[in-house]
Amino acid sequence: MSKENKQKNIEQTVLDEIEQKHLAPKATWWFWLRYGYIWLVSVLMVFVGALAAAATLFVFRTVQWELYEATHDSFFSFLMDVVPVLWITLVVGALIATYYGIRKTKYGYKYNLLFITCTVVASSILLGIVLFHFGFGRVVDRGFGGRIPMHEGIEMSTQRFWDNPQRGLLLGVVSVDDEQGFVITDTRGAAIPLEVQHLSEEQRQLFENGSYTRVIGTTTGEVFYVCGILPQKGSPRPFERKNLSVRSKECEGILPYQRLLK
Amino acid sequence: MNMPTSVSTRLEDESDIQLVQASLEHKEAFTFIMQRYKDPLRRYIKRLTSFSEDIVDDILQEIFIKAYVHLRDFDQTLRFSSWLYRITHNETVSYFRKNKKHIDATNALDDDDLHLFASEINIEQEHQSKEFASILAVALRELPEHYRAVLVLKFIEGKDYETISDILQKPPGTVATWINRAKKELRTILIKKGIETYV
Repeated sequence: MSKENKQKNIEQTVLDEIEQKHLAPKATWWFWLRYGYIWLVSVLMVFVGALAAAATLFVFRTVQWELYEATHDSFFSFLMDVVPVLWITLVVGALIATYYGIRKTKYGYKYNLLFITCTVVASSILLGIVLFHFGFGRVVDRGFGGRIPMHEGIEMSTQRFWDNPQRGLLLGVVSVDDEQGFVITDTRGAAIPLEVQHLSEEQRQLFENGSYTRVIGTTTGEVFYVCGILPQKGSPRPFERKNLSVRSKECEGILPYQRLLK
Repeated sequence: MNMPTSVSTRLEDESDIQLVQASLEHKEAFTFIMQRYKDPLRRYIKRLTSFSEDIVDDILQEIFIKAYVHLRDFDQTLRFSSWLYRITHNETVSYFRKNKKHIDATNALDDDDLHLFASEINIEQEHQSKEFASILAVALRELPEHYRAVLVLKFIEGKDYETISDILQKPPGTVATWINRAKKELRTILIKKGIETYV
């Protein structure tokens, strides 16, 4: 077939192919479904990003920044342990996925880059704050903690930092025993008597029966010699840290305690 | 069902949108869309890729079949030509990426294209010759795909920013940036090839 004839016949060739392959224009609903699917995925990504943002907020609110000197040797090593890399990565990943999702929608290319970026970031973060407010940050961080490699959740991390008697740190539920006095039941269920004779009455009042408490001190035989008490709920209030002072020679050699005294 | 001859005669002068409506009812009406657009689209494909006539025809057939199947996706807030150019661009780029080896060495730019282009990218008048045309064609091929596309659409096809934005599905701001960068890069390539430009 000559070039001219072939060119002339393009219309006929196309019509023949349409006929042979029984092609027909796709229905309108097919396109609605296609664009709807892209929007659905984009909205889902905003939600995933918001959940990850809520978990990130929860982690940053839960981290005991004031006590890093007790649990870690440097602020850097503390950051490496507490920064929720998984959630931050997920927030960024979801933002990027949403951005490209919106770009792939029918009119996505018309939107200004800055407009899409700001809208996606703002909606994810705002929704994240709302979800955090309703406790979803904790649910997500705790729910996935220990179930995903390299991610244990901030509550488990904090537990790990404070469940370290060798370093002079203990975490557990405090109770008062008639025979042994104050006893802390650690995370493995072991009951450890606490030596608190030298503590002031004000300090001892920080023990709340049946609640999680962190103590700093040293193991002497079967007993844990308590130098400082830090209730688990919230960060130590400023006066608490100010009230920490060397009360006995035993406490002088306990590094975490000395660091908190500075 | 075949289209009545009276309808077929009347359609020749109808608008694109009316032809689309008619094609949805009678596939034969789609012939008028093909007749109207086959030459401009063929030129666009050649300017973009320098493919041989046979390959251009194959791509063109694919484009028309795709357009027919997706007719209901045509959004009347766009120009039909923009929509068709968009399909053409995507199909051509897709084919180009898979078949770079089939690029024809011949120059796909004619004299008119050349004059339009030369004045837009500030080429000295004495370089606007046949020899320059082939150098320009080679230089265009050395540009990244998206830069080549915006230059062809803007300076040879004569499309405005909004239309190019609709064809390439990029924000108008991005199109403007690409055009500026593409012009600069093309000038750099031409200077390397011994073609003088002026600012």
